[in-house]
Amino acid sequence: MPGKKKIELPATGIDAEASLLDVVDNVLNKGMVLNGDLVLGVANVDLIYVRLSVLLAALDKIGKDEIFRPVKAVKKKTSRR
Amino acid sequence: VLRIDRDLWAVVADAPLERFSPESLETELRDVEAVSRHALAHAAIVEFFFRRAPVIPLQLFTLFSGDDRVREHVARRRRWLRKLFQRLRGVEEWGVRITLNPEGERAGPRAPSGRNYLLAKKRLLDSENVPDRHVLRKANAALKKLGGLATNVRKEAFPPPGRNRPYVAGASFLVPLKKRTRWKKEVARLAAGLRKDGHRLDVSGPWPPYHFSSAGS
Repeated sequence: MPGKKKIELPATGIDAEASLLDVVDNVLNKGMVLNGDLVLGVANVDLIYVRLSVLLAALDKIGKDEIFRPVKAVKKKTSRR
Repeated sequence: VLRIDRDLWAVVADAPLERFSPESLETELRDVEAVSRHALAHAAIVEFFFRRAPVIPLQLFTLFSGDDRVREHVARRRRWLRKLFQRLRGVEEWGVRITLNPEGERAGPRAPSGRNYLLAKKRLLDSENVPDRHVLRKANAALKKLGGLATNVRKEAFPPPGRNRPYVAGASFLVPLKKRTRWKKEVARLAAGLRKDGHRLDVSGPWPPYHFSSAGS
């Protein structure tokens, strides 16, 4: 399996290589939706996601260039493996 | 870790009701910091298991009232999950974004010749950063080329280019571990080619298959 990646354990922060925004977006909006019985009880869960996407969009504008790391960083990573 | 079946496990953690109640979640989720904390914790667990075995990441805040309910929910989908796992075995996700002319147009008209100046200015007035067709074709060709190394591709939708926003195209790729070296080489080659023309190709990964774990994938 993949040898190294961005998130350090325990999750105290992320590696400089991954953007927080990507991580947040992935776990919030991607991934499998398995409706847990408790989430179904959260009437406003959709609202939460809407609000979050607004927040994230704002964040996105601030740190636009932080979203993806440049290709060069990948090469470096290879040598570390 | 809950065993669902002979080859199927669910990774779970206790979520204290007082912290994960609708009310407290709603309050917490107004705060980017708090969201980030939750997201990172979730991602770290997914990551940990992804390094050891194929995983299907679940969306953040998937909550169940008890272990039995988890078993029940997962077991009910076990056939479908197995099929998905077959596709996720030995692959990892990579994200690619191509930004066309990230500096150029936005910096304002500064072309040497009068005609180019006017053209650039017109484009600014149109408040569009729509690139030439051949440039678009080049970006699409790069994504297509990378898709050739992948078992699955998900195109990403980006807002259309505007006055202060360059054209961005991107996709997520499911790439076999065995092809990782080739993938990186190809990415580097295409990035260099695009860079020469003032464009940018960024890559991120390897990720757990976040974009390939939803019902439709």
